[in-house]
Amino acid sequence: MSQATAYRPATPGPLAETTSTPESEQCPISLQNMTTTDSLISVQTLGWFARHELTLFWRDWLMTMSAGKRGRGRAIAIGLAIFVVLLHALAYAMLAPAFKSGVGADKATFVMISGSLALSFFMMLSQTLESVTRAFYARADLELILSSPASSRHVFALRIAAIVLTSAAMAMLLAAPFIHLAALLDGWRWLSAYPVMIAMSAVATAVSIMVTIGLFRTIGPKRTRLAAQIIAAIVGASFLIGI
Amino acid sequence: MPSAVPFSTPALQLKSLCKSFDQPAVDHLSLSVRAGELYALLGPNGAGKTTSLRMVAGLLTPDAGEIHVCNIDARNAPIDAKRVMAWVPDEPLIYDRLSAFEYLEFVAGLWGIDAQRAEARAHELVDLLGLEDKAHLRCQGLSRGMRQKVVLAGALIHEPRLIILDEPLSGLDAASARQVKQVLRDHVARGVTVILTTHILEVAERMADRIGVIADGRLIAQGTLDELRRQASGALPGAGRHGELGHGASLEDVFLKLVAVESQAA
Repeated sequence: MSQATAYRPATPGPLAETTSTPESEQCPISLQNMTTTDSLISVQTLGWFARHELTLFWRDWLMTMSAGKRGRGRAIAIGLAIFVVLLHALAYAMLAPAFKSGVGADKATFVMISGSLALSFFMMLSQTLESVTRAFYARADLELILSSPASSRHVFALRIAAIVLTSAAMAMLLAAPFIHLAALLDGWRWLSAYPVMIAMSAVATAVSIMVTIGLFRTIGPKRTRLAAQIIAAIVGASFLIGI
Repeated sequence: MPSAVPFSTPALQLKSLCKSFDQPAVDHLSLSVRAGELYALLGPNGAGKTTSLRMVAGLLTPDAGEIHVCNIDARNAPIDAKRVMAWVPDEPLIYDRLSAFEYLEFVAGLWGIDAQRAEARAHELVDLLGLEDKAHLRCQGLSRGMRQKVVLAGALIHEPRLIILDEPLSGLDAASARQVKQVLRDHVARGVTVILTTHILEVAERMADRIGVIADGRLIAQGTLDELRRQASGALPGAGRHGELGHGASLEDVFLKLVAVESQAA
């Protein structure tokens, strides 16, 4: 157990001494210190919940990458490193000639960058639609969390933030080599693409939440996930066709 | 000194609780469960047991009615009510990618228990439920019985005053079932209130202090087994006479009789 929180429950344990009243005459519960307004999970402990979510995400990802087989960590790391190097090489091959001849604020550059951003956005939208549906309606731990005194508002806010970050991270996996090479060849200002991608991911997540809630209200919870998956597949296919 | 609530205070009190989906699932359900008793809620499939308990756990919003958990108005102060209870659904979640200890750490965190206390309590529960050998293994490799025990440990980690379990023994082997029953009995002996639903009537017969029978979203009978026998036999005033049941009639006989009478009346 590594996470310390300052909170101490208002209710004593079953064996805790509560009053001088004979035990047989008590309902073993104390109501002192109970508030009626706020929940236990505060902003301070959001970090704890974020760590939990990250742990689950990381282990799920590792399990997916290793196909459930142990001892594949090194192979995955090597594979990823090769992938990253190859992407950087590809980015260099594509960007070096362009920057050599000089990149200006012209129409062609604008179209290329806007097109890339639009494609990234559709990829994010596809991913966040699925993630939002899962986070809001399909995650099996919702029952546990919602039956606890933890603030559901905070839990969902954190899950939405996690969706924003993971969606941005997936897009960055492909975009990062291009951003790095652009920054290397033409100046550090290209690094501003990172916050732009996070902002785009936030917008995609917001759109996904609106779509998901709209679906939930119109076609009901059972069909929402299927509909969201179909929409996500169409959007994802559009992304691939766009490439 | 903390203020204490008299032992006679109900651990759970429902007043005219209603919930409808396409049709009424819970229909003006009123019942009272005393603190420190083991209460079994029985009923045929679709009778409204799980819906009622999910409302108590704060997972569903009632259409009408009142829910009081240890004197806390759960509709107006749901967080306070959730602090003192635990809910174990019939198919509980367990994170496959976490070990039993990590799961307990997470649940303790949800209830805001400080780390030291949570760790001590986790060790205690792991020992109590015979999970020592498996506590550091990922839950994905655990059997159903083991997983059920981990979930039960999670429900007990914040030392709830009211534990609500939906079909806690389904799918457990005899040894695991006995262990779970013993843990529940021990907690009841220490003053904790346990409410469970079960289709295994022998469990209710042997374990429960009182039994409630629910049908069509309404409580049709409540009491000890003897009281239920009398109600089923129509011996209680106003119950009507629907045939005698012997003094030693099993809960199964009593239950089937009560439900049959109710369905005839409907």
